[in-house]
Amino acid sequence: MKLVDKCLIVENSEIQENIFRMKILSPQMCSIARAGQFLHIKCGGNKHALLRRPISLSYRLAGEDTLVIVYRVEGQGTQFLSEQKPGVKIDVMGPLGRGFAVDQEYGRVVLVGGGMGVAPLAELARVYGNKCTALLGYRSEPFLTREIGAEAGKLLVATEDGSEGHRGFVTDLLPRELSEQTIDLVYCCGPRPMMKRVLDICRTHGVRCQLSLEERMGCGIGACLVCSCATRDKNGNPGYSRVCVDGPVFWDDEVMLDG
Amino acid sequence: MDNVNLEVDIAGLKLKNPVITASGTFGFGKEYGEFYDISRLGAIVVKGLTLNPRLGNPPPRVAETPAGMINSVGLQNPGVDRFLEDELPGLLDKGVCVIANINGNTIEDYCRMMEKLDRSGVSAVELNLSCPNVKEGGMAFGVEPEMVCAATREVRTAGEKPLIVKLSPNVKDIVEIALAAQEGGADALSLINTLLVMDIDIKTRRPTLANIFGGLSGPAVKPVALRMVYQVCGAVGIPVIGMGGISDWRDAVQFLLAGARAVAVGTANFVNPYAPLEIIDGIERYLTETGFSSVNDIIGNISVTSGQ
Repeated sequence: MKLVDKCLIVENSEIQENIFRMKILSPQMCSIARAGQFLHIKCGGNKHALLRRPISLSYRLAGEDTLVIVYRVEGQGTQFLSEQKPGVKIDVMGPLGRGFAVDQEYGRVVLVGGGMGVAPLAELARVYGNKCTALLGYRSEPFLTREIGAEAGKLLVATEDGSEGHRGFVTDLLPRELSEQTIDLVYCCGPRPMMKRVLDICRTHGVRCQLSLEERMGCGIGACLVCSCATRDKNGNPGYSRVCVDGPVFWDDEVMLDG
Repeated sequence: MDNVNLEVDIAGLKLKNPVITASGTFGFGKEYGEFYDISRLGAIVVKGLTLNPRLGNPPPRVAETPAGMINSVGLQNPGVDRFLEDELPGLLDKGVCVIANINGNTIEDYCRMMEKLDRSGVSAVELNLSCPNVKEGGMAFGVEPEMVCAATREVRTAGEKPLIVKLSPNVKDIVEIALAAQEGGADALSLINTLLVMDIDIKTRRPTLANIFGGLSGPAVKPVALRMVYQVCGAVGIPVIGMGGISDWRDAVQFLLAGARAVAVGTANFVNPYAPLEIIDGIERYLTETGFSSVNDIIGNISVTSGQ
């Protein structure tokens, strides 16, 4: 049986203008959640935002039975979330969706995150530790670099305004990582143009890639079919997949980012 | 609470309680079956079916409005044959009453689906003459009384199972359409389908939905739906299944009082997967507390002292 639970908010703090980190207590969800999955959170229901908001798991604090999400205030749903104080309970469904494929046999993996797409990569950094290189891109001020840097073997930061690390796009850093050593898999999450670029670079270097997509959702469990994205099936035929259950993580040969 | 009777009869179809899940909000029952035993529901109406598989509309397919959602899924489904082979057997094993929702481009399509479903284990067929999200689809049949009557009559003769005609609110006079469906031989009616609406993204200056238009559902449409159910119940002699924005048992009781013999829960499933079960319990409690022994005692049981 799937879980819907009223979970205690342990922390909800603004780590940067309009970006919040929320720690949610749930021993059950914490024990089964995997990197790349999401939580479907009620943001006031009929009185505020009717539909739940899918927010990806950033990382787990297993010792504290706590799930951490990092979100940006974009609309009334996330606005509602940002106003919830520690000590109150929120209604959470999850963990939902197909997360990242994790294989401990991999010798070396690269994480590429752009903007809020950095958030779901944090749990992967914990899973792979020294075996992963994290490339994180931001418009300006970085976030989650401390948490990811503490776990990943190598961390490189890019900012568009040059305020920290490489001045430019995070994708500028990828080709070198892929040519310097054998990379088993690239994990990617970020804006569509960035993911398209990552996909192109990976194809050029013959490295497989997994991408985490975002789409507005209804039910979050595969019943309503509103969160469709264009994909190809095993035979290469185009169609639609449900981001909520077939994803949010897809393989490079499944996604059609232009569709 | 043991002595409260929740059973209702819709055109010979006996439901253990009056709470149904609405088409398009409950898939083929599998997803919500992971949250609870779906045989506790009065019935489920499965995702709208077409004769051949349909990919549906391109994304984005959803937008949110105050107390409502807009969808333009566009009848994505595997087609009636795959439903009968892949989905129905598992559903029937769960012991739930299954109502199939059918959509067509031509009356012939509807009849062929009715024939196939008539030989299957579904309990009834819901004829959707009113999907707002497909250009060539049922909408064309659902807005003209003569067409509704003719389509209903043809499909009625194509099979024996109870036939429920689902009505669109996007018409000049829903009572006229309801009477036309009754005249065509409908065993029951269900209403309302979603309201045809649109939304615009002011950043991109484009319609939010790729399909431009979509169907509005959720609490925002409830008063419209309630009014239409009340008007139709006052005009027809066949059972009515009421739906549109029902999110809790109080809403459901309103529809029953307006004359609906059963209610369907749609968008509320997305907010609270347990909504239908909570509504069943709430109706039972309401009956107990108000001293009624059967849900049938409250159907249409409102006093209207003045006006309509």
